Amino acid sequence: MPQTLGEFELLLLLAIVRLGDDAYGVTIRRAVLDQTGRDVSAGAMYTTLGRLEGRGLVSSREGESAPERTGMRRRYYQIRPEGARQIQQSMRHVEAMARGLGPQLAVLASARPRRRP
Amino acid sequence: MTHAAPRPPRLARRLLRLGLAPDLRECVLGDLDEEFARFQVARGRIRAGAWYWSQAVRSVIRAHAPTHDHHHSSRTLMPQLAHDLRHGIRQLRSQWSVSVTAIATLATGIGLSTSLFTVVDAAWLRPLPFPNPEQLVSVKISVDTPGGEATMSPSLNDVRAWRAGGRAITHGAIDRGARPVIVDAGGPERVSVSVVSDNYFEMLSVAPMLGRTFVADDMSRSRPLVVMLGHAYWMTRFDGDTAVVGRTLRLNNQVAEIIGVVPAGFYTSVAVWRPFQDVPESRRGHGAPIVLRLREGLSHDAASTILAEETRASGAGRVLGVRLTSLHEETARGGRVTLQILAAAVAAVLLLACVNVAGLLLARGTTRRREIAVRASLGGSRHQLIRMLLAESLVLAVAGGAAGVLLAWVSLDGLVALLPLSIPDTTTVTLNTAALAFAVSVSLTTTVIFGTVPAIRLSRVRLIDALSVSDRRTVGSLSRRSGQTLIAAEVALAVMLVAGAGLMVRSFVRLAGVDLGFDANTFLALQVAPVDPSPTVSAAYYPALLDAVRALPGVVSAGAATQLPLGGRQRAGVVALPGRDFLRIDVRLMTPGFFETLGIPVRNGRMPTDADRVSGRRVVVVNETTARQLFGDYPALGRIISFKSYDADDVRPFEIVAVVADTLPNGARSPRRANVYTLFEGTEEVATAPFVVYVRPRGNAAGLGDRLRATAVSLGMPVVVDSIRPGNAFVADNIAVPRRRMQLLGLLGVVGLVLAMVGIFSVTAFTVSRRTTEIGVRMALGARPAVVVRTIIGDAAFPIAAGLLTGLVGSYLASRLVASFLFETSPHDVVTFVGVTAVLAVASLGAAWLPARKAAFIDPVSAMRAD
Repeated sequence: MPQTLGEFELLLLLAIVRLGDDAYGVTIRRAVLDQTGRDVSAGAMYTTLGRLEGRGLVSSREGESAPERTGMRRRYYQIRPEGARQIQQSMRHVEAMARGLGPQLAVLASARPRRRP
Repeated sequence: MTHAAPRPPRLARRLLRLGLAPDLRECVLGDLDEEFARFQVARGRIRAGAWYWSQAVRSVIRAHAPTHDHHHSSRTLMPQLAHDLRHGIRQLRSQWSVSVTAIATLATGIGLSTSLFTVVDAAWLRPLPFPNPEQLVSVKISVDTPGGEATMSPSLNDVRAWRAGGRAITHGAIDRGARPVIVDAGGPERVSVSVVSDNYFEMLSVAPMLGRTFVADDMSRSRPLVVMLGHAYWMTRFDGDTAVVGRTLRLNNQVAEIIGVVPAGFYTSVAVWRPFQDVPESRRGHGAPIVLRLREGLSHDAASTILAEETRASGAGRVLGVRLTSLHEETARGGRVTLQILAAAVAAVLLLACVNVAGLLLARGTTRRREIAVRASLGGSRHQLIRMLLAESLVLAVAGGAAGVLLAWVSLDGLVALLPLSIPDTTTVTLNTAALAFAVSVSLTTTVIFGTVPAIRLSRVRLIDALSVSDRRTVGSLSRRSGQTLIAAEVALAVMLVAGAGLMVRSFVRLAGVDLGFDANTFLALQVAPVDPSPTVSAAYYPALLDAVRALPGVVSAGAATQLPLGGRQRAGVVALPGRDFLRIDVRLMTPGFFETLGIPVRNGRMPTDADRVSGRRVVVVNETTARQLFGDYPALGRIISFKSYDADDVRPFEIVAVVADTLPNGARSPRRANVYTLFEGTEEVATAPFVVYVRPRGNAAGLGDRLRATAVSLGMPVVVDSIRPGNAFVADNIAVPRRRMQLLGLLGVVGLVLAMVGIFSVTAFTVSRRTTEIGVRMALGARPAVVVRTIIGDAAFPIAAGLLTGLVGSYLASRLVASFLFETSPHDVVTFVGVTAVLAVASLGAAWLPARKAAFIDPVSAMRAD
């Protein structure tokens, strides 16, 4: 049974697709931060990326270094077909579940929280 | 560009390197470096640093935790710990008074021990700040002399032979130490001048910051005098001018060329370094200590055997042995016993604080038995309960530790000022990593151990017992016993601390009450010297100064002598005793007026006058010890004795014209010595010795000091006024070390007493609150309040008595440690021990009485209803 994607995993996969050839640690982190405001830690991100790679959803390759990286090489990520399929599937599930709930959610979200007695 | 850009915080980067899995290291570090560089340009260095730190910490924590499935994340270590910690803080806030007491207790113990650890570290543990300090030794040789075995410094020839032999040492040099000398570099002043030989700086591997160090040629008096400057002196006197080499200054009115500057931090109190000139090459026992650097890996024993062999082989005298002392040992030796005592006292305070916290935590834990039982019955595992209690202890430990470090930081300067010992000036006393690590480990261990003991015990509680109401009616036998043990331990520790303080106070009172042989409250001492040290200048200056001073209004008498009050021994001479031994005497110069001004009683005879000096009669005043040792019960007046006078070259006869009372040369603890006083003739060299002018004012001496200073500099020649001080300032200085010792041990005694009282109070209060129901029942059945109070106090009285007894036995055994500091006071002083027992008994019972009294006011009805 294929594992379903967690929200964070989905965000990372989408960022990689969005970035194309320029997807490595810094840009992926930035993309997530810019789009969602989530300032994820580099350690957490790489742990998750490693897991996604293990599941065959992404592939990575060693890239070049840059002067400000003190000789440390970049690791570039690329989406694999299986990854793209899982993204589609996850998004279909979310859309299916959320269909038609927009107005209701808006009402619920704007309601004031009731005080507990 | 990369090199100019600031790097990420080093420590954070190291944390990352250690915390990350190896396969993540390169990409994470690289990414963060890259982002840091950008962040730093966009938002500034500080915010970039903060961001980097947050990334580092979070990366290390989260890199190990699975992040995708949130329903699992509550089982990972960090969020659970955070939860426990938050819970711990809430718990501590809910029991505010207990927490504050525990934190204050911990802070006291940790603060005091941290600052004292810092001091012990600086004064004692830290090695000398030179490369391979263990190779540095000071050396003495034992020589067979007609008078028996004598220990002395080796001669320079000895050192040369050892170096030439090359088997034991690589360097050897003279280090005669520092003395105050008048130095003129843009205005004469007295500064600390250290006298060393060539090879000294090379031996310590100290390279000059500027210029060069001393060479063999500089050691000869026929060569021009050269000096090196201390770093601080160079900075203040020469504004750190790098062109200072080649310039000159005057040292003792002698021109000296500056050849170099020593690096900062090297013996900071020394202003000027000069070579030891014209040391007799073959003379041993020249009074100049010699330091050697041993060959690498050579033990002291092996080295001293080789050195003794080499000395014998060189055929210079009969050498019995060579004694080596590690230089570090020698530097730190003075304060060793003091530091041991302090360490012991601080350990006692720390232990007391720990016992206190243990009591508090145990008491608190017991009142929470039911809460914990409820948690357990609702499914909390034992493991979880222990972890919860542990987190609470951890919060307590961190708070107490932080407060303790703060206290240490605040109290350190005051403590150093209070220290009864001097810190070597090669080290500075600041809170360092070692001290902080010490504080942290102490606080963590203490609290975690004592916080976990109740946790483990509580988690073993049988639910049914803890939940049943009946459990609260009586005190569980275990916790009652442990409460009593704690009280006994606290009393015992406090007795030892207070006994130490009491002995010091008693000894100090006796010390301060000793008659020193002169009246310290009635004179001012003016220490002044002409810049030109030649005898003709002194001969003109001092009599003129005395005349001018005597003419000042408000001056009753004035006189001078080569003796500071309590200034220690002076030039030693010997008087030949016919047919017998020699008598060693201290020879001092004085002028008429000296004895009256100092209030030294004249036992017999008349004072020498200027008429004696003019007539050329040689007269001498002797003290009672001299008279007794020379002539026993026979009258000394009119007798002739012969000795080498003050820095004279030959023995001359003197007629005794007066006998004066003994003065103690070095304070209350110094033995009486044979002293003689001859008249200052004007031919002696006194500028380098402390020739002191004494002035007795009429009534209030306010403003006289300024007038004396004005008079001293107004006589038409350059002089340096070192000090103008009242006589009792010298007395205060003389007993400053015992006073500080008393204050410090007194402080520790008071802290110990207070901690013990707090501990007894809290344990007793806890007992009372546990027995509320029982007391209510008793009172309902007709027990009078006095009986209730007696019962509660009686509960504490037995452990208090046991603690007193243990403490007294402990003090009796430990007081040998302080014996060497006691003046005319037995380390087993009965009065002190009885007093301490009384104080502790009263204070302890008082601490138990306060909560006990509360028990007497318990309302029976509400007490029985309680819970």
